[in-house]
Amino acid sequence: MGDRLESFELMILLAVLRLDDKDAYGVPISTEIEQTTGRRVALATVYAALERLEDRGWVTSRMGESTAERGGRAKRYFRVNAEGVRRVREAKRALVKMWRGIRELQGGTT
Amino acid sequence: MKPANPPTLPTKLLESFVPQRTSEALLGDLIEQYEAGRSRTWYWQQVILALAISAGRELRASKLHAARAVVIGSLTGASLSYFTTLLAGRFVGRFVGVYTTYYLVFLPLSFFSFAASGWIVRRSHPRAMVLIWAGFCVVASVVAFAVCAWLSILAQIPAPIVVFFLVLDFIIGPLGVLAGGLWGSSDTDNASYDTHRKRTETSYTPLRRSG
Repeated sequence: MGDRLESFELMILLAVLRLDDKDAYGVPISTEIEQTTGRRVALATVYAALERLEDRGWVTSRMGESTAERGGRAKRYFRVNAEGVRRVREAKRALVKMWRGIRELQGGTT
Repeated sequence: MKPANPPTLPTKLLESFVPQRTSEALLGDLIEQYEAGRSRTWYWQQVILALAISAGRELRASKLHAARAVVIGSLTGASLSYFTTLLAGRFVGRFVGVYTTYYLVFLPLSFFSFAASGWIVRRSHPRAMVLIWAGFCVVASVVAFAVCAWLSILAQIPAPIVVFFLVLDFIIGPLGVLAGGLWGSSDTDNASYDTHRKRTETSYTPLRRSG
């Protein structure tokens, strides 16, 4: 399994970090990405990415209580751990370094 | 107007063929979104994508299991289908026409043969392996038909028989495998592969379901 942080995984980590611990489950995470980036994401792809991140030890999850409006299924809450935060910071540093000095990207917001 | 309950078949497919680690929470999210106004088409799309992701992930994670599932599925499905249709052809073929035998006798027998293979694969392998076996049936059929078309064999076979094989390979086979897989998932408390794996896996906490 690769140790590299893909761009979609970075988005997922940022979305989880933006949400409170009590809100960071599948639906709000996908909504957060859709609202922030305008990109439509399927819930299955969100879970696939979260499980990859969990397998690498960058994210942890815990099960909540079962609720009737979810057909008796529990929510699975995700949290970015210290290693995950470190990886996000690393990715940001690398991107900012890449950004610097590119004339075409200076000044504008688009 | 949209029915109140989410569609049963995709729910059952997700429960049966996606690992429980993912399926419980994902199903809850899908139901929550469906209750909030999403369509049945959206629900089906999400489930099909989840099944494809699950099969792909399982294939990458365990190629040996996948190969074994395909071998066991092929041996069971093909041999059962061959012997049952051979026997039926001898007895029934005397009384009815050849095409009637093909469509009314061979197709149901083949369905049950493939269902048996799906059941066996489901009981002896991780959940997603049934999807890999069903997918293999489709891919193998595409290759077989392409080779037959390339060698101009299809032109020599009567059209009703070609249609029979198309229905068998692309509809009856994969559907039979999935039906057998669902059947094999219906009794999860028995000593299936998942029960064995649950005993050996300690990292995942089983869910408590209300009601």
